[in-house]
Amino acid sequence: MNVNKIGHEHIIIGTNMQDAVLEKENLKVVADGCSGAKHSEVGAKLFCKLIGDDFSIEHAFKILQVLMGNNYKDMSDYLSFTFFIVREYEDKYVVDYCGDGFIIERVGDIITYKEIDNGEYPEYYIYNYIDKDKLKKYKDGVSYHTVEYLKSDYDNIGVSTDGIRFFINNNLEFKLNEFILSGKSIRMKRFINANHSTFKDDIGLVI
Amino acid sequence: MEDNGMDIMGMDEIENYNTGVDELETENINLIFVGIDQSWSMGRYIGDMKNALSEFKSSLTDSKEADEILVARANFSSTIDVGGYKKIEEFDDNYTTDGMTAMYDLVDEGVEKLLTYMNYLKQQGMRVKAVFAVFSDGDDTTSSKGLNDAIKRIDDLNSKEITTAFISFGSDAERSAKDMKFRNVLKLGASSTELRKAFNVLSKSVVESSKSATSDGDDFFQM
Repeated sequence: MNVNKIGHEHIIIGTNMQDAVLEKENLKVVADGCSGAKHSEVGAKLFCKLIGDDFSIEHAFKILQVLMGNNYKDMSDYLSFTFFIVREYEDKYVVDYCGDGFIIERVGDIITYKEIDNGEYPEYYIYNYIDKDKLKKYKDGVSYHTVEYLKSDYDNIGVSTDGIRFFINNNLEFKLNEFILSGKSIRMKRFINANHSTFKDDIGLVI
Repeated sequence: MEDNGMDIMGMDEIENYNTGVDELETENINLIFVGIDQSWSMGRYIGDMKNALSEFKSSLTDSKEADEILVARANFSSTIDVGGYKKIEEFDDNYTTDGMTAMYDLVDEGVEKLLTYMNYLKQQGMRVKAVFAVFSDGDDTTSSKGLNDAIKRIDDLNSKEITTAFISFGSDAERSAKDMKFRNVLKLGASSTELRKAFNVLSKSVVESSKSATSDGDDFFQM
């Protein structure tokens, strides 16, 4: 199931939804555009598409870099996004991620939300393609991280942008568990719609 | 039972009478109320009506928007029978005629039930649009409610940006539709060809309306 909902504050302020999701057979991707970057949702969506088209992470960023004419300002405005990717193999799930978000681990009916939080400065992979002297942080570059989950130990692995913290921080984790266990994304979408002011940030989730 | 004699439905009853939210696979839904005149004056068109209703059902069933449409069929003659909002596959395309024309009663109860279900769906997080359409060949002749009651109801829908549409089959019902403040009135001749056109236009208009996120205003009918 996948859910991609705009956050309430984005509606109030009048900005686009900056999260993007992709769900294909054996592949789950979420990308979260930086709220401070002008058009980060464009990069987030294009990245999901390129990964869905079987490009590697490096190749996808190379394509996006060329698309931006290698202009650091445009790359910063359009390509500042975090990403989480799950690839499913016969015996394991492999998660590649860079920046803030959640890895969702399910064992039976037990669901664990493993938060990845970089603090004030999220790791944006695009920093690798921008001159060091233009960067305040991560001048030595950014690497994506890889975690493997054996299918013998886990029933399912999903990923989400950090927008689901509004479930967790508002004692609504049990509702999120219900939605995920039901496998019906429509229930989660309706719940967010009915309680929209609670969910201030965009949500992109695939499991 | 409310003071005005109308039953108030509980949540379970609303779901059972209409379609429960868990049966819906979308967060956007278009509610279509279709009021159908079954008074005796329509008697000569029974066969044509059956064909027209069958085609109406097929057109909606075959449309890409079918999953986002729920239709309530409401029959009126001397009595009224307002059905719940159901998936188009469940639409009853039978037709019989009998008795007089209780149109104001139909509007009164139809609007009440539409708004009740609409509010329920919104509370459940659904995004809801609605069309309130009536097909008739004549004036009201037997309602317990009056014209002013019907006007209030239609005004209420108009103020809530719910599309109000009336198909006047022949010229007799046109004045009634305008008096009741329907924002969209389509006048057609009283013939088999025009009757078929009426439901053809209605299905096209419903599909087009379902594609749009905004209210139809007075631009509902797609000729």
